[in-house]
Amino acid sequence: MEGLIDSSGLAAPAGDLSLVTLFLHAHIVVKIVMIGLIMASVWSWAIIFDRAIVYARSRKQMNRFEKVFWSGHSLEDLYRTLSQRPATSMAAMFVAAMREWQRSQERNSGSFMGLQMRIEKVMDVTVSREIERLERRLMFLASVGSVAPFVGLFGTVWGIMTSFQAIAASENTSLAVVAPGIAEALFATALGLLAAIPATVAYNRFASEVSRQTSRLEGFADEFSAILSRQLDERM
Amino acid sequence: MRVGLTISSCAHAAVLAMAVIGFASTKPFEVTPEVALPVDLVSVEEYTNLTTGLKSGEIKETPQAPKAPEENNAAPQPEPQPEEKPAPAQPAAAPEPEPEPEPAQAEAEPAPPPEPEPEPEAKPKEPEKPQYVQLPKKVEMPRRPPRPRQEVARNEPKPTPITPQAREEQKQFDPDSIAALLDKQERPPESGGVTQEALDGQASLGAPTGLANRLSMSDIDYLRQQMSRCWSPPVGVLDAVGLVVKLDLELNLDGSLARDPIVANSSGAPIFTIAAEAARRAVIQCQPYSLPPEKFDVWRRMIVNFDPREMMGG
Repeated sequence: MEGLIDSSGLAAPAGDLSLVTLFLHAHIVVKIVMIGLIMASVWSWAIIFDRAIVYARSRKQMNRFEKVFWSGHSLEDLYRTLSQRPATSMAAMFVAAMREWQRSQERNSGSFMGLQMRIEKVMDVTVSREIERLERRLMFLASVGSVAPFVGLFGTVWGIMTSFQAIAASENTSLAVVAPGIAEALFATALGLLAAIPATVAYNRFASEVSRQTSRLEGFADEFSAILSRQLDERM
Repeated sequence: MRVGLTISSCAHAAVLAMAVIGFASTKPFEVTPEVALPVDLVSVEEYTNLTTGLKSGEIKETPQAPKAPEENNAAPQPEPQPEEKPAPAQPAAAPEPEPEPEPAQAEAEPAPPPEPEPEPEAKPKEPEKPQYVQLPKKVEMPRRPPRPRQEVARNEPKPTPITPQAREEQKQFDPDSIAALLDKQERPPESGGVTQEALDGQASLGAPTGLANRLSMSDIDYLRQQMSRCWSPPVGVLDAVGLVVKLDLELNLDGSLARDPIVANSSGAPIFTIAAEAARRAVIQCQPYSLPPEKFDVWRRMIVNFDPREMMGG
């Protein structure tokens, strides 16, 4: 990734104060900070795209499943078709609950209360697994959003520090001497903000999306356990 | 995840490339150089301590040039006045005839007063030639003379119908007087120092430095600051109201004390003795003081007001 950025940078004609020359003239610490921030930005954008795809797909699946579920088909048929392939979110919950139900039916033993509890347990586990899957890598976005500005600031402070040292050594305080060092140092803060702003925005958006899908899953779990418990009562 | 990473990397590469191309053409600011205005730092001393002399000024004992014209002023005729205005520039020789005619008139001819009157009336025609010669003087006449003329006129209220001879003498063209006038006019109006003449109309030779030989406020503050370094106020001294210790100092040229400072005032307050002793100690401890050596004769012996609270501020 780094090589990619560097090569794309070096390919461009180096102007006097272009980004490439700014980067090349920077102190090694500032360089590391810049590279790290660029990598963080790349990775957080990768996560953003990935999560966006995951959530969109998951929402679509939920919609489709609910449509099928409430269409009045027999649950056994639905279970048979869904258990053929690996399912996600609501379908996975439904499959897990139905599997437990089927097993209890096959053995035909144990109290109904125990069956009810087992089904709820199974669905809880599935819900938490689903939530875990949805929330994966979101923490990285949160960390980038909060830490990247500080890292960029660190690079800036370091760059300004070294440029002041250089000024002190050259004993020349004209703006032409000061400016390149400061510009190069400020570039680090710019990169930090560049990484942090989308990460923060995306994190907030995705967090609300996750909580919405979670509550939807839990609502379905409650509804389904209510349906099952009604079935058990009718069977008694 | 792979899809996201690919998209992200591609987008970053694209943005970076765009930024590199876009930023490469950062336009430099076009700054038109501004004309620097020279600013002089002027100290207040130049305006407060005024003893600058004029080259053309005269030593005070000698009769002053402006005196000459007032005879004409006092004279009854209004017409000849403009001709004789240039007279103030005339050298000290001019006043000499002054006293002479007076007694002459008073003693010898009490009757003639009417006589001179007609003569001056006729005069304007006669002296016209010399008038042209003297014209340049008129042009260069400074506006100052009126004031001294009136003053002196008050001092010498003689009506002095001047004898024609005396007037003739005054009107005589004197190249030296022109030179003197020109010299006065040459003084550039923006030059910092103000001469004594500009203040009270009397030119004096003045001191060579152009400044009164006394310590300026900045000198005094500097001295106070030097003293306050060693000043550690005893307990209670700072609270005492109106406590001032006067120290009589005698200094050498190198700024060291020539003798121990003497407390020059006294007070009944018990705290005063403590404060005075502390002040004495501070003054002794902080010597030598650096003061402008060219003013040595001023600060060689001086009395310093030692206000404990002010010292803390400094």
